[in-house]
Amino acid sequence: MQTNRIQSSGFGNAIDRSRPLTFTFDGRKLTGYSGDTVASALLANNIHLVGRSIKFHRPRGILSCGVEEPSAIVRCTAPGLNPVPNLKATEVLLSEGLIVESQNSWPTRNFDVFGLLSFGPRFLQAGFYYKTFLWPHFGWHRFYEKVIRNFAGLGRIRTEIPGTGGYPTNMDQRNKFCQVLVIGSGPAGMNAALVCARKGARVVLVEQEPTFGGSLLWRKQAIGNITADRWISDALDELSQYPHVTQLPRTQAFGHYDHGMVLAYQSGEWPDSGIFWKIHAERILLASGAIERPLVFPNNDRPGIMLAGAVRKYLNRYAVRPGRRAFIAVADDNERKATISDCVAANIEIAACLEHGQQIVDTNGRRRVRSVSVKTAENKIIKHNCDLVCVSGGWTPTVHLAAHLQGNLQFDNEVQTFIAPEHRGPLLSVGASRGIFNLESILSNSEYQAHKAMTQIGLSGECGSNQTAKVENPIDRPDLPAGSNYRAFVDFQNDVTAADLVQTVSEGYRDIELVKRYTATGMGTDQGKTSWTNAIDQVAAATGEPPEQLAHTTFRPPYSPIPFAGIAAARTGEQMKPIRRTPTHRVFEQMGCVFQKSGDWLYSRYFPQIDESLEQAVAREVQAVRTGVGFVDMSTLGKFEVRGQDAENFLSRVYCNNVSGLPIGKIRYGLMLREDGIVFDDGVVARLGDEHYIVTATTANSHAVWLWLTKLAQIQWPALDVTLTNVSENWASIAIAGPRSREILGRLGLDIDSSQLDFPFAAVREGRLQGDASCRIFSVSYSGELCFEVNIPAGYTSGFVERLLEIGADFGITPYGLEALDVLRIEKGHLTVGREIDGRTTPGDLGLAKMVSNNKDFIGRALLRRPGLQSDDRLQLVGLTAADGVSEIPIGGVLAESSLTQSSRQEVNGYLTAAVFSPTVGKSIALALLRNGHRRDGEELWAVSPVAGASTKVKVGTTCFYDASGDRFNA
Amino acid sequence: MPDSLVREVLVDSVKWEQDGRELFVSEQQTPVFEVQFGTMEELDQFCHSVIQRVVGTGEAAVADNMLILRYSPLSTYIVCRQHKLENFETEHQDHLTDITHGKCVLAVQGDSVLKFFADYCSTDLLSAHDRNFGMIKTRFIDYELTIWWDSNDRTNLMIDRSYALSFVDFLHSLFTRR
Repeated sequence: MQTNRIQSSGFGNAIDRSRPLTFTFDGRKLTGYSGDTVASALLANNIHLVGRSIKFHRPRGILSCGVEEPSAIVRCTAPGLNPVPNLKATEVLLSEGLIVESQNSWPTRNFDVFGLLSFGPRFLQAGFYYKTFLWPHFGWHRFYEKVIRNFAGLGRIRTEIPGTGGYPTNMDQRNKFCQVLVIGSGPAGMNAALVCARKGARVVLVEQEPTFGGSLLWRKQAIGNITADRWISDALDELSQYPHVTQLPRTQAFGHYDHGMVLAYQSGEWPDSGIFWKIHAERILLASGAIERPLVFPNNDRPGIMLAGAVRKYLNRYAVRPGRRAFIAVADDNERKATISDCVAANIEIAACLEHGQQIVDTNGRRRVRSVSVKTAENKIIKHNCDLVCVSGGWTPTVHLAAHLQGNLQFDNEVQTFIAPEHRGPLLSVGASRGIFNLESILSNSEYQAHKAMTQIGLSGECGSNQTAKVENPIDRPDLPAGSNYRAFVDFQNDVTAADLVQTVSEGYRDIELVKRYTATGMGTDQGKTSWTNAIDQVAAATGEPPEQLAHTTFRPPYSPIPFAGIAAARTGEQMKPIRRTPTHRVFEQMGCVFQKSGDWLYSRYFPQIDESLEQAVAREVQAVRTGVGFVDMSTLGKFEVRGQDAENFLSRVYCNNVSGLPIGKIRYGLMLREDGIVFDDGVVARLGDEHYIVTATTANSHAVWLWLTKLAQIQWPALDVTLTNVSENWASIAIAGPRSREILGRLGLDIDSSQLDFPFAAVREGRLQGDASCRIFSVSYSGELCFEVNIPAGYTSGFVERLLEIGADFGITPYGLEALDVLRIEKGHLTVGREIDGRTTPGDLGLAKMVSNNKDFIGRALLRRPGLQSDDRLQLVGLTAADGVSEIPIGGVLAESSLTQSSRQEVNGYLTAAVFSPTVGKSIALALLRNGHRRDGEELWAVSPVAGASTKVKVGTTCFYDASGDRFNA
Repeated sequence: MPDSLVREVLVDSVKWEQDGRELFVSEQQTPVFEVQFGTMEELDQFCHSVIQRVVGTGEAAVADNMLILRYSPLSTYIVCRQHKLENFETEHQDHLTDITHGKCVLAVQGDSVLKFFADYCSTDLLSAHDRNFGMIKTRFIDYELTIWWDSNDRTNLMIDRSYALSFVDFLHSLFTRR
């Protein structure tokens, strides 16, 4: 039964009494109404103890009524949904069947064994972890860390609903573009949105609560001669008529980024649903309002001690009476009167008010406040029985988004706190975020700022006079009684007391950033929204410095926690990132290929036969290429057409070796350097016509090479007559490799002569397949065997592969994948990007120094001559074989003078780039970058892998283990 | 190999339904060419020679048998109804490249499909639509697309062939989340 629900219809403009809802809290079935938050529904059911604090496990209730809530942290779920921990009860909207659980208590929140720690504030002070557990020295890893980790942390993540893979399926991520983004829909935001909308601007209005109106909804103020409710209703009606205005309720703008981009999260009906918005705005009007500031006094954290504004909001918005007898401790006179008025209207008895010059010296009550002890100006202690304490130390402007992007805030002497700057970049601050709290002034200021924004984006604005921060009554916050600050909490979520802050300063941590990190003040899910101004005041008092000189800690996004699932949205599981499939994918899939992700590509790894292991399949595929014929998909290589009168000149500048004078129909290996002389990429240059070339790039560097070439053509050398076209996707490339590959080529139905005489190694031919589809054939070899890379239009690939299998059946043609290709290229000593071409090696390091032309200019030439890149002492590419001819060379090892067992500290001479067992050579072989390697032929070293715990004696030799003369691919 | 080469269908036509909404996706096997020039003036002249007027950057222009999509100052795509561009294929052969097999052209139809796409593009698609630009080359979350539209309920897009299947899967995932 909702014992605390006010029945009068004059209260509760947020709830729909015609739609009752049921939910459970720690297994107890309760009821609420549509429109309730979990917090309002719990209070309606007279539940104040919601959970336990993180450090001392003190009983904690509901302090606030919004995003600033530090204490009422719960876990929510529903049948069929995975639980979401660490949600603020003040933010979660009630829904039918919602399951709410308290956190951080065992076995129950009412009887928590760890509650014994609540006697510890005097002992568990700031820096406790840093000063304790120091000895014995092994204790930390063996005992302390495990124990502390069991205690620490807030909430548990579990993905217990089967079939979801743990991924929420109701999260989305969208873009929104507008001229003006208005953050907050209180009087300032709503008025600003109206001004902008009337000018025809594309406006997005975001409001973190389900209903637009902000503080107007519960303050019961009048605007002119109409009520707040009517004013909001009229404003929303008008905004709805503008097609260029978008209203986003339940949307929290949590981060402000460059170029006017604001990230916002719109929560859905259930905790695991929502929309992550990227809002791109020309101007941002920050009308985020202000957050009420608690008072710091001994035992100020008991359930039932609430912010005065929150009490008024629960009364007026949710028709919930949080107590029957209230003690009022509100610093601002007007706010105090309004709080008393609202409480009296809701039949809450006023026990007493904290008067000027009085101090709260203690509170009592085990699971809920029962009394407040007040010290009068005459040093007399008076105890007031009550079940509700309304506290307020004034209002702190919500400035966070104005302070993102490393922005500093202004300290305003009038309101005695930090306020948002009038404008910074595209952001203009409005209303309470500027420290303006008077309603008339807020409306005037918002109109001024909105017109200013309109003028800035080219829509006519009519700027009137501006308003500055102003308070009507000076805030007189009660002092903290001396010597009683061990249980006077400043940061409720992290259990940081006033004593902790004093002690921190006394230990030398005077900078506010250090104080934050030493004590954890301002961290956690509330990000210090109710604590940061009080903390600054406490530290200022302890250091003797004025608050404006202490400044504030750095505000970073997110303003308030948002679900990681919202950031990921649809990018989960197989769709985490795009997958590229080669033209052979479908037909290879039918052939039983095992695929492997390599970058974005889904690449054919190997083609196992029945009961065949990876190693067996690879050995078979390698053997087929070396002795018969095989084919592999090379479609992922970059392929770029280069045309124009200056095509040759362009390529000559790009490659470090000589490509000039290449006859039409011929191919040359090309090496491309970066400007710093380091090898960037390798590939081939093929000449198709007088002014027509095609160049290839490695799979890994394909996109980077394309960007590099286009940049050179468009920016570096715009005067050259050259056009570039990326045709990588257009052509499927099937490499037919092996001694019998020429015979296969002859049977493919090509209109070219495939004889050795007419089609030798390093040549390119263009022709037609079956007289229909155009094709290009390159006689190049990565495997070291006679090889023809047949390029065909990608859409014809499946049919071509089927034909190839049909023709090749008589020759035992064997498809092979990336694994076999890697073995073949290592046997031949060919390079690959990421292993040997690793962003640090020069042509000389790779044994390609002779390729570098001395007769022309090219990119990287000047810096390649640096002494550091010409030194003999560099890591240079060598081949390795096991010294005993039998042992396996460990993958990923380093090269050392001794084995693992001989010395625990190895002097590293280099490292392995590749190591495989070669079925062709019959032993383990490797490539390595070895210091001064080119002069160490025949030396014996140790290939050592501390990770695998293995070391093998290896002999240094040539990088080519197979057919060093190159006879085979010239066959 | 079959007697005559048949271009493989990369994306099967699909129709998705969710909460009363529908989305149709179908592949359009249409020839695509890329045209590039070293200067804007040369590309302007090319466009003029084809459709007797200049096509601005970001503009989609329809001629008898082709659609011109000028996606950058120096480059344009030509989407054709027939494979041969008899009039100017040889004349401009140094600047014209057949990329038909490198691209997948999809037609996407459904209520307010343009708005659906606008939610996921990193440039302001609706603003471009309002300004009658006709086409845009942009990122759709992690996918690079060229998009042009006939109406609010039908858009066409071109994507690199290798990404096409993954993109359609992703599109489906987004559709079910709305």
